[in-house]
Amino acid sequence: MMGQTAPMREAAKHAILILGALIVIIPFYVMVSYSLKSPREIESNTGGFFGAQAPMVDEYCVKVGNPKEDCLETPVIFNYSQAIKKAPLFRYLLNGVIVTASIFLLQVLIALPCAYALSKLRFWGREFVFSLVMFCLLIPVHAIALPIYIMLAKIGLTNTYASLVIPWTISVFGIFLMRQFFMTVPDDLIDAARMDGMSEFSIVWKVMLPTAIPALLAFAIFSVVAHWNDYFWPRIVITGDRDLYTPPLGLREFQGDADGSMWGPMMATATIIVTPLLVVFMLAQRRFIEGITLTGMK
Amino acid sequence: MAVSSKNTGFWFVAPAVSLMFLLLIAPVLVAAFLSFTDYSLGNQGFSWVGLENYIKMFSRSTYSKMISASVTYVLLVVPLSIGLGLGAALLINSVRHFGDFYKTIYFLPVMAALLAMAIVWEFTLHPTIGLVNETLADGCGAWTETVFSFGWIPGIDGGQSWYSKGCQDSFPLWFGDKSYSMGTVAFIGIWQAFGFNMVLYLAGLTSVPRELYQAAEMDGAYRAWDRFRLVTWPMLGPTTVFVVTITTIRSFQVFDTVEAITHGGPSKSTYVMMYAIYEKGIQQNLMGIGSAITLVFLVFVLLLTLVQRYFVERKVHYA
Amino acid sequence: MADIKLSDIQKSYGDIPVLKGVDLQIADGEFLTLVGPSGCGKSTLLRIIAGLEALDQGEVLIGGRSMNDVRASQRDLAMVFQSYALYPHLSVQQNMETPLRLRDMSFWERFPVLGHLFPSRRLKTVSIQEIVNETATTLKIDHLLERKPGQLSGGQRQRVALGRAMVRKPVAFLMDEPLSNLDAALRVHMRAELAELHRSLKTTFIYVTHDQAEALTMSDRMAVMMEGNVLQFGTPDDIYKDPRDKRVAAFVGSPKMNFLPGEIDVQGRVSAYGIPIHKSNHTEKGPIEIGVRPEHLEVGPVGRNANQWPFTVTHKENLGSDFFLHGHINGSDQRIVARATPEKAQQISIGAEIKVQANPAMTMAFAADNRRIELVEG
Repeated sequence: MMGQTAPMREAAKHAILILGALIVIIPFYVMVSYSLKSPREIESNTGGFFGAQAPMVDEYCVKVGNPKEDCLETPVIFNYSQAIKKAPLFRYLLNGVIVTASIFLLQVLIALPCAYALSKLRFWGREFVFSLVMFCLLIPVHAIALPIYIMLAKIGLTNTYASLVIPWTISVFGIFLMRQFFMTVPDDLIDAARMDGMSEFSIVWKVMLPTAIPALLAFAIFSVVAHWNDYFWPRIVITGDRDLYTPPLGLREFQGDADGSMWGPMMATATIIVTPLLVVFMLAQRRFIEGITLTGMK
Repeated sequence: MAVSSKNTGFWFVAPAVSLMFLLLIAPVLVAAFLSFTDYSLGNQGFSWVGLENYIKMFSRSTYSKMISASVTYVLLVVPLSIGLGLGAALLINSVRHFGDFYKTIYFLPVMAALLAMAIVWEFTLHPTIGLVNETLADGCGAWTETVFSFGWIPGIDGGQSWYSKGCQDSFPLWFGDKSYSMGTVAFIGIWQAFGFNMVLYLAGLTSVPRELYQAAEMDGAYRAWDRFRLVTWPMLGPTTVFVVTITTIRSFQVFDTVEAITHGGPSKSTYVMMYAIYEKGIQQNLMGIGSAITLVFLVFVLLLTLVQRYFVERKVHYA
Repeated sequence: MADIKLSDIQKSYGDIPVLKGVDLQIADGEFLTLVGPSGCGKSTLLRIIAGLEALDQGEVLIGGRSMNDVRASQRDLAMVFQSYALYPHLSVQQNMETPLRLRDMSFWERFPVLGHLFPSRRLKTVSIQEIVNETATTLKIDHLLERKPGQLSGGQRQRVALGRAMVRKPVAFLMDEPLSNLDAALRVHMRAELAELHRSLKTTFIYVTHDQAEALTMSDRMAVMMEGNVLQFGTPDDIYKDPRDKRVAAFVGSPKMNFLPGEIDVQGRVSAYGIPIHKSNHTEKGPIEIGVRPEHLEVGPVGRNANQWPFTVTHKENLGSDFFLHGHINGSDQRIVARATPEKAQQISIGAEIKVQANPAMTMAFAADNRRIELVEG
């Protein structure tokens, strides 16, 4: 604050921050590095970050009866091609996109009118609905997984996209967040829209939605990150059908038959799963951090 | 207010309200109901067992281990991830260069799928070929052993230090040894969560008026600690309340690391509540006891949130 | 003695110079105002005196001692901030105790919980509370001691901020636009109170404001600053009656001084709109500006004197005790303001063509470079 910090202190601060950054980075380093290396290099901890990329023998290929020469591959290519071949990884990624996108769209579709009504309309039972929202904020959906699972099983919906999406369609957090945001939108704006002859329905989508973009974006970040990375819920409702696996489930399946030699492909899978969000984060970092901050300002 | 809005409002909240009842309230009631039964999915009927499930929970050692594992995890992750988050935020806020760079790095774990990172950590901490233990072993006999065995500090027997013993014997089975397993799982939790707390604290710090720091300086607070006590910490109060609550609730919900790595073991040392719900309810189809755990879990969350609201209301005058 | 001396203070932010070598000598116990339009560097200068801002060059001396390497907390100065900067989580009492606790108690005595183990803490707490109570009584805020700043009105917060500054009996009080957040009536009232407070404390006040009226009404001496320089330093009376620079003349006084385009010839004769005003020793021919304050423009017709300007009234401003007539001379688009008594103003309607005459003794001339040109009778 004095603008006269001693250079030694500044250096010490950077030293601590760099040490922290190194510890934070370790698993990312390991993940990417292992995804590039041959099993031998992984086991002996050699080859630096990139590995020597010396051609290696694909044991499985030999076992099937191919001559050894045809089974030589560069580790990085071996790892990533195994990741894609061993399991329908692209299918998993597609599932991830389908599920997170459907969840977010449904959440907005349901939350936005509700938030609008709670903040700008007067109707019988409004106070009750708002207290209901405040109460439901207390219930973490993960915690009530068992009864929801039983309900879905009773109507035969387990192992479907629906079972992955339905429990998350109602986001009380989203309602709360959007309501708080709508409270700051001036009533005059809505009255002007009414004078222009807009219906309440089109006010929600043509007036409120555009003004709420920052809050909506924050909510989108929250929702997408949570559901892309969610492992618990898919684990419960998707039991057999691999075609419905989301990315974390796909990775978990890999681990089931991991015996040292498959570390490379597995880390390649992990890298592929983790990268999309990290790339989006790097590109839109400011938005992300603003979003997290906005959701934190309850 | 338009006349039609009476009905409009009703129709606008109707979908949300019905879903709230169907997907949040009803399941809580169902869980409450089932917690007094021995229900299993697939069975035709069920019988009332009264409080048996709850009595089990508070008498059997499995469940007392479960509670203690969850509580231990929370007590490790919450203070440490918040302390590190605050520390990182304060440091980043005070350095002149590269603040954004550190912020990006520290936030990466928040974005990465915890399951994937748990598996990577499992590899990294693999007892024989993991990077951590190999690096530790590489340091044995070299200068690193001399330094980190702390034998150079008078009065400390370097040979008896953690590091030297590890060199002579072997380095820990991070996930396989029950004296390390919980610590290691909690470490991953801290690693994952502190960046999130850091971002919230950074936001809190930007809202502290600069003039307050200057006033503190003029009042004679020349030590950084005095300014922290007088201005920073109190002004971050609301942020802290929020961060504590959200971190606690999230920590209670830890599942991915346990399921992927330890399966609750060794000897139930990492048998946290969410994993117990999963194991009892889904894997063993014991919906009764699973529901009872669910309810206990909900009570914990409820209490925490009420405590938070109490604190938030006490701080209203902050504005 | 604690006189404050500033010599050749320079400061720039990046490439932008904010202070261009300021010299000031502030006597012990005086009420000094730094006044100027926003961006003139007055707040920066105050913050340099406080030690909150580092200077690029020059020296701040307090009581003869160089303060350049002494940090703000150890200069024994107190500051009242524009936003008051009260600690929102502490009660009024605790806010006022803070500077004393930081000064009088050791690090360990202040430490939470542990501090109570020191017997000395109790004694110090009692004496601190006495000082705070005394100060609170002086400022008439003793009934507010238990409240938090959030529960106070703007005026009350202002007093608490003053109290927090007073308890320590500092060498000097630094005030950064302390009245700007108050409503107009309270601001006028607080001016008088602050001046009285200064008289009773007999401590140096350094007061920053952009409001020339505050500077004129409160200070012993004022320094008019513009663009990083002190243009003139003197008593309010001096500055008002004898501005050495056109910018000072224009800044001080409300309504503003009127400026008319004038001329000076080789004999030093000064005229405006063809009417001679005075002579000057200055004999460089060229355009100049003539400055006349509204109260020094006599509204005529005044006798049969030929030296009068034709004046078209476009607006009348009624202040009750006085009227200000707005209009222009000779159809020029320069707006001129003249003061008139209510009686006189009643006879003049908007649109009227009247005559005005400048009081020659009170008329000033300024060269193109803003410097004042001395006029002599003649």
